[in-house]
Amino acid sequence: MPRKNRRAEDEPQQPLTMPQSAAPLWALVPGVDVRRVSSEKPYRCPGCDLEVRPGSWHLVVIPQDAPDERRHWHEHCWRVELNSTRGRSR
Amino acid sequence: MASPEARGRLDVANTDVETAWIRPPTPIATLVVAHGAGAGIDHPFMAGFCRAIADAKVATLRFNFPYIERGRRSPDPERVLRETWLAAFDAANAKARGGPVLAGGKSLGGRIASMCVADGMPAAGLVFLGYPLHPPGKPERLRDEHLYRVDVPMLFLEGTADPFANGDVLTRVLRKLGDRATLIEVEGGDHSFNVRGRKADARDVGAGLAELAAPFVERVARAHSSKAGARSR
Repeated sequence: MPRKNRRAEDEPQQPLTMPQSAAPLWALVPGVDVRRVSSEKPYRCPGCDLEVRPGSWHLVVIPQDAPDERRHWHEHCWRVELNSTRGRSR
Repeated sequence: MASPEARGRLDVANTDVETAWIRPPTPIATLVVAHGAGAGIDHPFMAGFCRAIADAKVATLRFNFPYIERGRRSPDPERVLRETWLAAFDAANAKARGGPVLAGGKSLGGRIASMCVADGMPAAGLVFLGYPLHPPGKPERLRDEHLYRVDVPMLFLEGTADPFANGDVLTRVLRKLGDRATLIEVEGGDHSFNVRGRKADARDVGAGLAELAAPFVERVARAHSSKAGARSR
């Protein structure tokens, strides 16, 4: 049966004017959705704690279990975050 | 030998959710298994895990959360997830006929299980397949408060390359949990226990984790039966 009341997009709800494209393959890991975005709003990157400048292309990382916890990362910082966990031995 | 799988339904929060029950011939324990945020009970990882642990004489009941049944991507509110967990646990308890019942799950499913147990769900133990200790890059947003209220044995199966479980943070949490917690690490494993550069079928990955989890479940089952024996004496 066709579904009614489908939301335009599930989480996150972002303005339609925001340009988006698919994230690079290296950025995709299980447990999160990753998208490449650019926005007029400034964000704080959790990797380096510096600003993601308005208008710059960057990644939004959305944990599947907690979409509210989505964060905007510099591409480089997300790469560093993944590399710091990948293959690390404790 | 493969044990047959029986499909059933549970009525939770006005939604009919699907369950899958696997009972080996002479089970030593029952494990209720919840799926992670991204996929339901039919994901090969879930099926692979449950089928393989049946070979170690552990019966499993796995179940979908309502949002999966409705075809949604975002998980239900925590209240609904917990309600579903309690209903699934009750159903498994009835099927287990007095045998020990453990709770567990992948990521989100395991986390909700631990919240229910912290608040009194009478599981004999907890099995976490990749506990989401914090969102990636945010180790200060810890989801550990309720774990210290859990007083049953907990098994943490964690990939060493999982961005949801920073090694230092995990070590600190486990130290605080003391001998309630057991850690088994999968070297190089990410949040789905895939290892970079090694292509593996999700079914086999799930089966591999079942092998790692089985000795823990056996230990819990033994402790449970000796306690039950002491009570009846």
